[in-house]
Amino acid sequence: MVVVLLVCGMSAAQEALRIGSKKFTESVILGEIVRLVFESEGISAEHQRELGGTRILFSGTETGQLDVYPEYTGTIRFEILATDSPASDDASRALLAQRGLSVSTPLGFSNNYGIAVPRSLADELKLETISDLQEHPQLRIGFNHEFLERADGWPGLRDLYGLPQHRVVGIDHDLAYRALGAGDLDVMEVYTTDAEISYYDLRVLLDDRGYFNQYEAVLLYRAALEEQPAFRAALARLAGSIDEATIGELNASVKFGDETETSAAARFVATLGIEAAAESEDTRLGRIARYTLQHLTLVGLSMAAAIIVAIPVGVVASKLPGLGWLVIGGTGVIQTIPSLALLVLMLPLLGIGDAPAISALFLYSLLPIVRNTHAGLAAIPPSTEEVADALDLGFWTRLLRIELPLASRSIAAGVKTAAVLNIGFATLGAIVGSGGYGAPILTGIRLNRIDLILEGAIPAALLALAAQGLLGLAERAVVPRGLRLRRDG
Amino acid sequence: MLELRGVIKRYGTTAALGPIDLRVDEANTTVLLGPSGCGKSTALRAMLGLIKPSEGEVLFEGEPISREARRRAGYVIQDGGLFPHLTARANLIIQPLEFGIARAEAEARVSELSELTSFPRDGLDRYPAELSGGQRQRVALMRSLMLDPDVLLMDEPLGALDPVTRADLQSDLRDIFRSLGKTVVLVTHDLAEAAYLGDRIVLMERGEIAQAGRFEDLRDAPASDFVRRFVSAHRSVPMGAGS
Repeated sequence: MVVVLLVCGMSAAQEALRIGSKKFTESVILGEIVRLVFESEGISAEHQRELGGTRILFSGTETGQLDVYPEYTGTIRFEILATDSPASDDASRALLAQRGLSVSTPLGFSNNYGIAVPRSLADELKLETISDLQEHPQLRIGFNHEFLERADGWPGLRDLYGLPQHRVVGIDHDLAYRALGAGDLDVMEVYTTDAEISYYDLRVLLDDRGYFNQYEAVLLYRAALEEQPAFRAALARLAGSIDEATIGELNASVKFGDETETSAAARFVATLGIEAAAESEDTRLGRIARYTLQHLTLVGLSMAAAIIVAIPVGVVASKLPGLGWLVIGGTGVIQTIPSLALLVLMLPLLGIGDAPAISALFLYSLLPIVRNTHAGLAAIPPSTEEVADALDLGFWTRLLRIELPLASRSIAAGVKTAAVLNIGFATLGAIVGSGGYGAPILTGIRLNRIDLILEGAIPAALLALAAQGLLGLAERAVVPRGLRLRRDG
Repeated sequence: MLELRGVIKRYGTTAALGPIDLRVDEANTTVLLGPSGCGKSTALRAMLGLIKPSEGEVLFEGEPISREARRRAGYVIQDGGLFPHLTARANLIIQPLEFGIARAEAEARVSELSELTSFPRDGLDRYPAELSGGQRQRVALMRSLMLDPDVLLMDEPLGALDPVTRADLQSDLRDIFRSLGKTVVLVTHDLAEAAYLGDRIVLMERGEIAQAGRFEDLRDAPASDFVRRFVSAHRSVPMGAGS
């Protein structure tokens, strides 16, 4: 039934225009604005909110899983196309065109990178410009992981300004604001339209050597869509329509007011003369039910596939010891790949949505089951094997009637371990757009809303407990009664 | 019936067995006797083809031992080797079913053998963990007899039992061996058991045969100092045993 729902969900999604957004508030608001404007032009559209980072959105669009998403010109030039190092935004356009992608006229505002410190600290140390940071090597810096790595981020900044700080950590952007607010960090990168800058009373240091580039907001989309007049009309309405003050206000009202991204977007498009359809009532229970279904789909399909594959692999590994070490080593290596990295590795192959999430979960679930199947078979006493030899039992009788039943307890334990890990990992599925309990957790972290985090975290924990309980019952059915008796003789 | 000819079994560079030449006569009970590590269990496994000798050959009715021949031999190991996840009955019929014998026929054989081994019928549907040590051993014996083998090979079948159960089972075994008239090879380290059950005793020392013969031969005409010491170490054995 889950499979049927999934397939229906996928085919329905193919008809509507698919908009993506990154996992920060401004991107989600822009995604909603784009959706409302498209709908006003009679284009049915669907917004997949807060998918992970640039790499995920761009791959998704390039592979046709998404149609359009909000991007920034600087990001296109210095990150997405970094290996081609285009000399200008026009050069970027030409490179994108070769890949079947196109960029809209700028939406009207720039969201540049900046380096910020708490105002009180800035006053105390007399920090006005980024160059002023050279004198204070003791400052603690937190950058988001993307900024930390990308060429136009920290490495270039450090080299240009000769910054001496070595206490630099990678931290989620939203958490970095909270860390600065709590005094746990001193310096972070900001986006200049972030509502938090004024909320946390930060000072954005002057980029006195002109390091940061212009990051004008644009829409990145599949070039083929330009053939639709309605699509062109929608882009025309959006061009130059949002200025810095407007986006700053929208960001703040979502982050620190009670407004949802949808209602902020509706308020904005009203100024363009577009009346948005009323937001459908979304109760907490309804949301949790939806997340649960999505989560169960991810866990159920990936676990079923893992069990079907891992048990035979474990059997083969135990029958052919040389290959066995290779297989167990291989699944062990998969386990060491950070989950986020594994998801991103899947993107070029599988795009975004359920496929990469299920595949990654499947790979993660292999190891405990393969290893426990192997261990369970290896633990069968030699005397039992000898008796099976003496009785001259055939390969299949031996495997199905003797060996697997004797290993069943160990295999069941492996399945239980895999299921609990799987339920936890599946929360990451939200990053690639497959929903589940991770979705409210991501939103909650972004908006600093504990209630939303708990909306995902509590059901996820309950699901893990329920899975433990149900699998415990299943274990009683699978493990032969004779193995559950205590020997008294 | 069964013959080891110049058999040597090495693990790495150490010889666990042999060189050994041994003939097992039909319808006789031969006991392989000796202290732990003397190679008696290894010799038994070689007879069954469960291990391949490093040198020499194993003959079953004059032919090299084969899988087909192995099916004509029943095998019982020390703790019975029952599959713990199967009931006594399932342990018994797994081999007949594997070889295409109808379930009804196999069940009939189960009834027949539980009669022979005086195994309680209500124990058939219990799991090994629910049976006493002696009962488990009876099931193991029944299982080895399911296909009505020509040869019965037993490795310390009574080793793990308490003395009373052991004595009971010893006398039952002797009766069973006599009534079946099968060729039996039994491994033990216990001289009294060997004397009680065996028509012929093969006393082994460090992988080789120290002396083979009737109990009286070993007692009255020990071939070496080892044989004398082995027999006298069991001097509490009532001298009437084995007659």
